[in-house]
Amino acid sequence: MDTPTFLFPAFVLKYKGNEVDIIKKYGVDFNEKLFEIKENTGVDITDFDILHNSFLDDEQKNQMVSYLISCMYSDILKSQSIKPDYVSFLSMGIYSALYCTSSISFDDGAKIIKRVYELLNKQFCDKNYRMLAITGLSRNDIINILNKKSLNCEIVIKNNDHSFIIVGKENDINILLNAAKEEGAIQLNIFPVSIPYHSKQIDSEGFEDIIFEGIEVKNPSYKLFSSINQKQIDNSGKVKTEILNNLFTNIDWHKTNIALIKQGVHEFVECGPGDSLKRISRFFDGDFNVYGMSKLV
Amino acid sequence: MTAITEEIKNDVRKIVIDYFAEECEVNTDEINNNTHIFDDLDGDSLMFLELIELFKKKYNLNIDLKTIGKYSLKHPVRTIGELIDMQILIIEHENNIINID
Repeated sequence: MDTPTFLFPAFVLKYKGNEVDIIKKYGVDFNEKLFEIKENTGVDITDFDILHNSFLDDEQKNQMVSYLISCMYSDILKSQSIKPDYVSFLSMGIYSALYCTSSISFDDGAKIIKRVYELLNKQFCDKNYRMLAITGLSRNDIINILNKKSLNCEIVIKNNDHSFIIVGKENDINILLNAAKEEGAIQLNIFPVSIPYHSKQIDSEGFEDIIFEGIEVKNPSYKLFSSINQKQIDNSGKVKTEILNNLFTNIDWHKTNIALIKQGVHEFVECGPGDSLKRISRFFDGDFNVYGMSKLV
Repeated sequence: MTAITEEIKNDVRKIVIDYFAEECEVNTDEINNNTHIFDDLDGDSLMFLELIELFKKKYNLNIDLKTIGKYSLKHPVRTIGELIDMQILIIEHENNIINID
């Protein structure tokens, strides 16, 4: 295996089921980590149970558990001498990616997640935003529906040529969902999310001081690759800018992966729960493999 | 419109089963017509699309993904057997599949 690129997913839609077992196999006290997050942030995920109480429908707890598992995976890989060439991230995967590159500590990453969630929740809690994943239509197909139906929605993430994430108010998203189904979408999923992440609707004025209060941000110790502009993030100032821009900028995950493949990356490791990134990668052109944790450790 | 031969049917069957065996990390002998793509294999719609792309290239088909989506709305595919049948129909009818009842 070449030196791989670590990819960090946003949050988890479906667990593989073996995530906690993998972590425990390497001597990490998973329950202690759950308590650490509670003590550090006040977000109580101590009753997490991958089979019976996995917080898939709880926006904040889902993010926190995804962050925890992703960080532990990163530690395990490094402990097995599997170290990344590049590190990249989709959406809220930024925080575990920054932990992996030693730009932020584990505790600070959890604090940032909580602060960001609280800031955005305050801004959008009563506005009924939803996120919809559409598979099987092109960007033009979706734009045509939005225009035809005069819907106030925004394509915020391109996963690949056949898969997009759209945000909008609940009513518009429901109309889009039905129209996309009639248009021939293969699959439609509404995410359990109420914040229009990566949307221009987000007003981040004043966020910087609150998010970074008491947080030490260091230069990345590995090559950190932006999914916003496909450039390397090589100092702490750029890390802070990326954290903020990541909130309200559209993401082209397809372009990010193709740019990495063009840089010579052939091996990717999905460093987080589930296998959503591996699934998305099916429509990327190039000679590459995406491995899950269970294939490597 | 392509005439469907036994050779094509066998070819489609082999490609579909080999594909799911590899992607879902199961043995080919664990997959049969009744295997549920989503419940038994943890498959997803992107696998579905990838297979369609594969057949598009192999048989030089004129078929839009949207057409398949519309067809699937009326004829949902849940099992490997249903998927094989649909792939054969796609090869046979291409975009005209939408006109089949």
